Amino acid sequence: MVFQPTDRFSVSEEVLSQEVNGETVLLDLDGECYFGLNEVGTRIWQLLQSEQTLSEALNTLSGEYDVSRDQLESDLNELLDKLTKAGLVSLADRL
Amino acid sequence: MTYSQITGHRSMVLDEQRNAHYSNAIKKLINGQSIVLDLGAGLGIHGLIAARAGAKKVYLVEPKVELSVIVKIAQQNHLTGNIQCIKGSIEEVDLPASVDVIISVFTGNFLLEEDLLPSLFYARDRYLASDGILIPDRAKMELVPVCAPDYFDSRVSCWSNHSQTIEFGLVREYAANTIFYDDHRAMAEGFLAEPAEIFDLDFMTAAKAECRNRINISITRDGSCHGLLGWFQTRLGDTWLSTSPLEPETHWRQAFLPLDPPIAVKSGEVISVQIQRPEFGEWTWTVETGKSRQRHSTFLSEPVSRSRLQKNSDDYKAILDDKGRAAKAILEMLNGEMSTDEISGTICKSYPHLFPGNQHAKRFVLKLIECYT
Repeated sequence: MVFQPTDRFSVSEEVLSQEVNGETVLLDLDGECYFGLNEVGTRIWQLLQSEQTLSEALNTLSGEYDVSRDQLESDLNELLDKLTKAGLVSLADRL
Repeated sequence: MTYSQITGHRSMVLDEQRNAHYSNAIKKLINGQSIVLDLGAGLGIHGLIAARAGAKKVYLVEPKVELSVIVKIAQQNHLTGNIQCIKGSIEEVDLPASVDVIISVFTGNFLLEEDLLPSLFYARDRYLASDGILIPDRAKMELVPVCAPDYFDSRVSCWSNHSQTIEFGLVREYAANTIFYDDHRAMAEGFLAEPAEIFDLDFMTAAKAECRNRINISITRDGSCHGLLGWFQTRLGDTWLSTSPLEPETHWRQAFLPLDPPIAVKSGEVISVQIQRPEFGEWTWTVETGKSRQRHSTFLSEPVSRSRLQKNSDDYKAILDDKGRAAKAILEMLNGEMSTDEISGTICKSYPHLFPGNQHAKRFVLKLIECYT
């Protein structure tokens, strides 16, 4: 799925999450599946819940991680694609 | 209590309420032609009752209890002629024939705890004759919102109090997502509504032992709802055995599912309650009123690390750590040519950082011998 910089996302109400040692485990109550997020994925998950746009989230991550913006954008899009396909997040609105 | 401990079966063997119901059903439903499977027999009480009731043949299948104890109990009761004791879980053994009756006590607290029912369904599908019967053959889960300030305080809100000036407040969230199995008969005085049925499971036809249901409950008196109290009842023959706090005591415990913070409710108000529990999965309970919505889950009752989750994943590619390599080396030495002492000495020398002394190595070796020889 191709995302746009102004896309916002909403987290499904049917997802429970817990953070342990900087990593996150998600439980999708609908699909009865578990997902694990590493440290960067955990930070992305936190930003998704704060309803930032894709572009805003990328700016935040660029300021926090010493990684190229292109790499961060690729990681972010890849994770969003997985979470969207699994039904854990959905596009909130598209302008 | 573990099922492999002989005296651990005391509460079940001496549960007169349970055993009277089972005994009555067995005597009504079994005849001289019946081939019976006592599934997860424990010390064999129900299978032995079936044998005494005149069953043609009784298989007592039990994975945990030492078989010789069950055999001796049968001998002591002069019931060896038509009984065969088989050690193992039902998935591991091969019965020589189909059976007419399967007796089981695979109903855990609040019905689904312990996840034993899938094994009953396996036994049903593999061994039960087409016109066979199950004892029990059906169960219902019931629950009620309760006012239980003392219990709530003792298990949940207590964590907000410091102990010796040390704060443990963060533990409260784990407690609020824990189900407390206990003798909750004292909570009967705190019912805020009539008990309601939330789930009905037909053991003869069910494919899975899982619950996902939502019901509306009418509150019958004003109060603080500290949580939900749950239990089950099960059908044996034509009678129902209930583990309700209003009924005679059994060895089963009721389940208290907390709500934190407690919810103020009023007489006449309708609340929505959802319970979800997949097979081998987490319990999740959600309560909605006109003003609030709370969700709790046993998923949040203990920390779950990503690495532990990864290890349970179907596509995880595991690599042995040092302890695993030591275990592999030991297993390869279990070829009938080396003694336990020799193996322990070898492993202790090869992995000194894991086993500071021979005794440490020997304990590890003995565990593997116990499991794999």
